[in-house]
Amino acid sequence: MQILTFVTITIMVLTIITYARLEYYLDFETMKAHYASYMEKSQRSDFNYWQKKYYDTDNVSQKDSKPKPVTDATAKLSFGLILNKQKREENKQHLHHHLLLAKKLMIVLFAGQPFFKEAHKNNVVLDRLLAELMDQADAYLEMVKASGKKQDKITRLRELEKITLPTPDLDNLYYHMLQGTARDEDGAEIQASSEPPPVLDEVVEDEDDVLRSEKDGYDSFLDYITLKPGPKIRVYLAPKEILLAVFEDAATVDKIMTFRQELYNDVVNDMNADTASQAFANAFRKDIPHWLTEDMVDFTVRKTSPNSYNNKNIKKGP
Amino acid sequence: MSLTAVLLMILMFFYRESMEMNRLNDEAAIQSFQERYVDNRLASVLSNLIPATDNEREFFFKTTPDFAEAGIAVGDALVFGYDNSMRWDRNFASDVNGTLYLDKYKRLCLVTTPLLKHWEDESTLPIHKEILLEHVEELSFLFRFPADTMKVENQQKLDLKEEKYWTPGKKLLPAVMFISVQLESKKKGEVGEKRNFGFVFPNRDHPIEYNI
Repeated sequence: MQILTFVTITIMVLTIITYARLEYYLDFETMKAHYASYMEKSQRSDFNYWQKKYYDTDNVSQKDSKPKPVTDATAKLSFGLILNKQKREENKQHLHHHLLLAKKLMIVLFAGQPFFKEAHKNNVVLDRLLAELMDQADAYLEMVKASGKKQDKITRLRELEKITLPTPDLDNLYYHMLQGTARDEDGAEIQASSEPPPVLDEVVEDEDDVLRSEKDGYDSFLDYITLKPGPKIRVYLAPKEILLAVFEDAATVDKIMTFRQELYNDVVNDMNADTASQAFANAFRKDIPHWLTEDMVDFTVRKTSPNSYNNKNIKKGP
Repeated sequence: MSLTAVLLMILMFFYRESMEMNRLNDEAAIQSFQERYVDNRLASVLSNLIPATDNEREFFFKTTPDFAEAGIAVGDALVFGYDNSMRWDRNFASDVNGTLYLDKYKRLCLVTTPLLKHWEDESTLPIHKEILLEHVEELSFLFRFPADTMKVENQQKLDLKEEKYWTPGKKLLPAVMFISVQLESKKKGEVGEKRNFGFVFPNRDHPIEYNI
């Protein structure tokens, strides 16, 4: 009888162990199936994303061989002046405006990010950052020249990633601004707010008021600047963030975006582009802020869709 | 009593089978994750290759025996330039030099170094070395490419040339690259398993146009 009890207990223990093993095996098989499904759908998504981006950017000349009219306006903020020592000295007035715009753009883009809030407690941090960036860009070019390369200016925006700023706080800020993060597809849109964007030298602490919160992620600063030397901002094609930096008012920016889309539709339907440009300028010239001269804003309308320059197309990969 | 003995035997057998299955599962999982890691890491690097069409950047993509001759690698190494994006250590940010090779300890290695134009003294060049896979017997490459721009109609078979080496003279990328690794065998006298990793490069100057 005692043996029977012993055997029964042994069988029960073994059954429990066996059941645990079976559970483990089933869990593993389930995980394996999920993993296989994930790999099939997502494994190459990043690879495909970047290849598509390269296709879109690198083969432009093959897809569109028509020569484009030369213009002195750009959809993004031009850093060609800021990063070129000689031009800086020649255009001090324009440089001042460009630096001011750059600071406003930084606030529009990063006001909701913890790294920026922390750094921006110091009111002059953006002035210091831009001043150091100009100095270090000059030093970078000297170093490239010393290595035997014939390069007298920064020719690619990505070269800015090579620049290190001398003080750790500025370098930390600069690193995060250039790095950017992946952005959620649904959270990528800037919140349409009737509130004005945060003004210069003031970071809004209340997360409800900021343009883009931490959880949405943020774009790299490089996505919004260009090395093209154009001194003007092309309002017709500029991304929403650039418009917010220029016009400082979300309601005005929304009106601009609606109106330029209407103008695009009209121009495509045979409206004269110069007439449309004039109408665009008449509607919004009065909204140009006092600190910005009119010759820095361009209202030219052409048959290019303003949506094609929207920064939704240049989000970071997954 | 006999019935108990039979039941115990069956249970023990099942228990042993279960243990063996778990062991095999664990091995397969480790191997699978290692391979997926290699695949994903290489895909993330190779998807950012510097395109040959960009004249402002320093393009290079070639196989070379130099590392084997220097005693660093076994067999040919693949040397290429790629965009490493923003990095805390700016030496490794933006365009960098990547080298994929098999070292003498049978490890598949990816070494990243700054481009020489950003570094004055070659002797102090910083190096970032990653061990992608261990127990690798052999590393080989296969490059497939069309002679010219190719248009592929629906269901048409691709007619691509093949080469095992990619020489520095070719200032273009292949259309497809396969990286094959022969794994070390666990049993003596047997040949280890072979793993192939394939990568497609659409950003080349002789593109393949699909019409499907």
